[in-house]
Amino acid sequence: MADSALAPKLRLAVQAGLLLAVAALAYGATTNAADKLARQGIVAGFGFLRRAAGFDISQTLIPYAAATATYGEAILVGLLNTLLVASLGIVLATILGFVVGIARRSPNALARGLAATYVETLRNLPLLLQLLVWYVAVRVVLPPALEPAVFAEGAFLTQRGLFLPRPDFSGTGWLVPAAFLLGIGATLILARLSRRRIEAGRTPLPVLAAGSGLILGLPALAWIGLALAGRVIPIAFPARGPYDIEGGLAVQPEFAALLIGLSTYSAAFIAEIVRAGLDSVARGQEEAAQALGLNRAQRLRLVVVPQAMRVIVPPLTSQYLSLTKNSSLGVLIGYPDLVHVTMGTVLNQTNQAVEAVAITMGIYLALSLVTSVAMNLYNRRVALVER
Amino acid sequence: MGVLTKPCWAEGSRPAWTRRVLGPNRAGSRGGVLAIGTLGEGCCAAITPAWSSGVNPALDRAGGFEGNAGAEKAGESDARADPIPLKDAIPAGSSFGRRAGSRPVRWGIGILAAALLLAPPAQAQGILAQVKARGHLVCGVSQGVAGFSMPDSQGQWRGLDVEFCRAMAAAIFDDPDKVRFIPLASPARFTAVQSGEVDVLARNTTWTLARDTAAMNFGAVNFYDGQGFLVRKDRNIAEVRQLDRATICLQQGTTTELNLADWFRAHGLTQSVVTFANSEQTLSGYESGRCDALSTDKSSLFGERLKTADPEAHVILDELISKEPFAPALRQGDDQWRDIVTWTHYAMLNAEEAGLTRENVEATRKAPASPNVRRILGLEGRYGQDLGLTNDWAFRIIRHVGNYGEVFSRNVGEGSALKVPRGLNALWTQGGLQYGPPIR
Ligand SMILES: N[C@@H](CCC(=O)N[C@@H](CS)C(=O)NCC(=O)O)C(=O)O
Repeated sequence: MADSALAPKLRLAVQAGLLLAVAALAYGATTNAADKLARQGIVAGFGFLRRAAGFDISQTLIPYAAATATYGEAILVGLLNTLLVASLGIVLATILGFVVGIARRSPNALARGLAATYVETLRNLPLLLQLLVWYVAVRVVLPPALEPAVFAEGAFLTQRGLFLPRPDFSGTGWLVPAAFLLGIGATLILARLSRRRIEAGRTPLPVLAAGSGLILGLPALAWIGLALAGRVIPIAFPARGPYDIEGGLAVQPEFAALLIGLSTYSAAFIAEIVRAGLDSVARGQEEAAQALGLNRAQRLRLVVVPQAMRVIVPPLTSQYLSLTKNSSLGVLIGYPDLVHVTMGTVLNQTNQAVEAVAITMGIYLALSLVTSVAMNLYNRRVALVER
Repeated sequence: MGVLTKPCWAEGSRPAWTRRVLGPNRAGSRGGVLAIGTLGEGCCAAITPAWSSGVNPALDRAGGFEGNAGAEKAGESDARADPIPLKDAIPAGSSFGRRAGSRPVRWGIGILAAALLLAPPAQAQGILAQVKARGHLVCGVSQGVAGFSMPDSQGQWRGLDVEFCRAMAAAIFDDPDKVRFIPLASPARFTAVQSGEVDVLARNTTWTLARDTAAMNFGAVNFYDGQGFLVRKDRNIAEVRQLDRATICLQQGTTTELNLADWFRAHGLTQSVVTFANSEQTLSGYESGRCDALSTDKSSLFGERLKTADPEAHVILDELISKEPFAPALRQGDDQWRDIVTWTHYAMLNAEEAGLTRENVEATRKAPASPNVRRILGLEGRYGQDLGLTNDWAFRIIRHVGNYGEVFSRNVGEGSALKVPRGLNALWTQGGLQYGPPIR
């Protein structure tokens, strides 16, 4: 029929036309905005990123001095703070979420009840509220700045944070973190070899013991080696100052509250995803594993969870994306993340609203895309597990 | 159901564009004339029904639009006349209406709507005209700084900045209540001015060069201030210097965060800061012990101190580390509006200098003493008209709001809980900086 032969072409034409219209609209909107800005006398452009910032930021992972740093560096500091809290949050939320999710399918009624209560409480309260509660809690429960709880030599806990000794890995000291990474790499290789052996019907390698030995032992060896070579790694110990514990590594209460709040909240959702994943695995699988004589931990680790991952990973990706975006709520508890620094301070001190918004949106978009791509790759791997 | 709405364009003028359209009732399919005119910056549209002999009579009326009267006449006939289906109203062969609702038409409408949204703004009408047409002033204030802008227990906005906006409303409308207050956090306030969300921003906002050149203008300084510190009394801190190595809570997007970094650096001292997005969080940070000091404009510190659980346990340091002249901000590019914003404050200063108060101004107006007072009260000259207002503009301000000294005392000074000394904000005749250029 002529009609059906024509239809695809027509549809294509319509699609093309629509695409053109959208492009034209986008172009019109951009030029219009630029025109309006120019008329208001606002200089558009990103030149301001190289101008001196002149304000302080409470948590900086890279050297940052108000006097010399630029707006660009300030934004980078904010971005790193976002990455720090989001990546740690993802790790903690995943661990906690799996524990709670598995507990919801536990044979133990108490564990089931606790897990259900956890999920229903945390996911039904607004995250912002939870963050505020955590932030108040951190400050109320912990002792004042100059009456710290000392729980080990050089480690203090006050309402202004957790202060720990900080080794200085600058200079040849980089060997220690390098040895640490090497240990992780070696352990991963070991794990893979072990799996091959299992698949080939041979006995597995002692991955756990050897791995922890490598991950802890290699850096320790590097440390001792450097010390013997006369390059002792300096350690900055926190000490009492006139107002505060100073020096060392400080974990600030804003960061702690945000990290705890984000990971416990997201864990509730992840727990539900995990539970759904476990339920999706046919009962027969577990029964068969039981018949083989595997204990519950083995059944979960070797049989049920790997199959559940196919169902778990796609929604898990969404959770990781939400967690990253939710980290911007840290603005309300004074955590200097990307939004706090860029939208709160930089935008206002420079009045470059369009650019600041564009930078923030661009970065979040990029972060989300990278997370999605990584999770999709992982998903492809776990999907292959299907037999 | 009548679809007539009153024409919303200026009386006597014609709509820019008319178009026959379908009525809202599908079965009856009543026709009408959609007319689009311009009012201020925006477009407005009205639909008048078309009936009897096709669309013509209504179209004529719609086109002619003898002001509201014409529209009302059309409304009467709406009640009387039988609606006729649009297919009869539209000449045969007209393509309009037949395909209405079909996909291309819907797309066309969508694209047209998008084009309208994206269209560059019509030549801007002055802010004063927009305010008058709207019937009230939109004024940006803080979310709660005692003495400057804060809602009281009845939800009424109170404060020096609030009264500045009321004074403007009094000058424009002879009614100090024709103001809508929009509370804005520090980081949100300038976009609100630049985008036109507020007509004026009276929000303890420091006038700086960078802000002045960022598509904004500033009126006259209505409060001279400086940045100060609130500390716990039991820490025995007397000078800012002693805050070396201390942690300080402050609000972001302010001059405060810039001054603080500057000052400590210039004095070879170090400090840590925790910056928050709003004043509540800042205060709670300080009160909870997260910070050793809270820093902001000294004038705000009086109110913040009173908000703490035990005000007696906190002191405000005498020292100031910066200049913070507060002035109302407005969108750049409207000289008339800028004059009104500026002279609203000057009128209040001139009133104070001339001894005109809320109490005595009515009586004084009946028997004005000096030529200066006659000019202020609009009995001589046409100063108000030249501003785009009425000649009694300043009289309205004084009668409804009062002179600067009264407003100061009532909100932040002796007559208030804050008891801020007049200091730099005294009239120039009393050793202060408040100096109103002459009204003449
Ligand atoms: N005058 C300074 C600071 C103004 C400012 O925002 N101060 C804070 C400190 S208390 C405030 O008013 N907050 C009230 C609010 O956010 O509503 C400026 O213009 O940058």
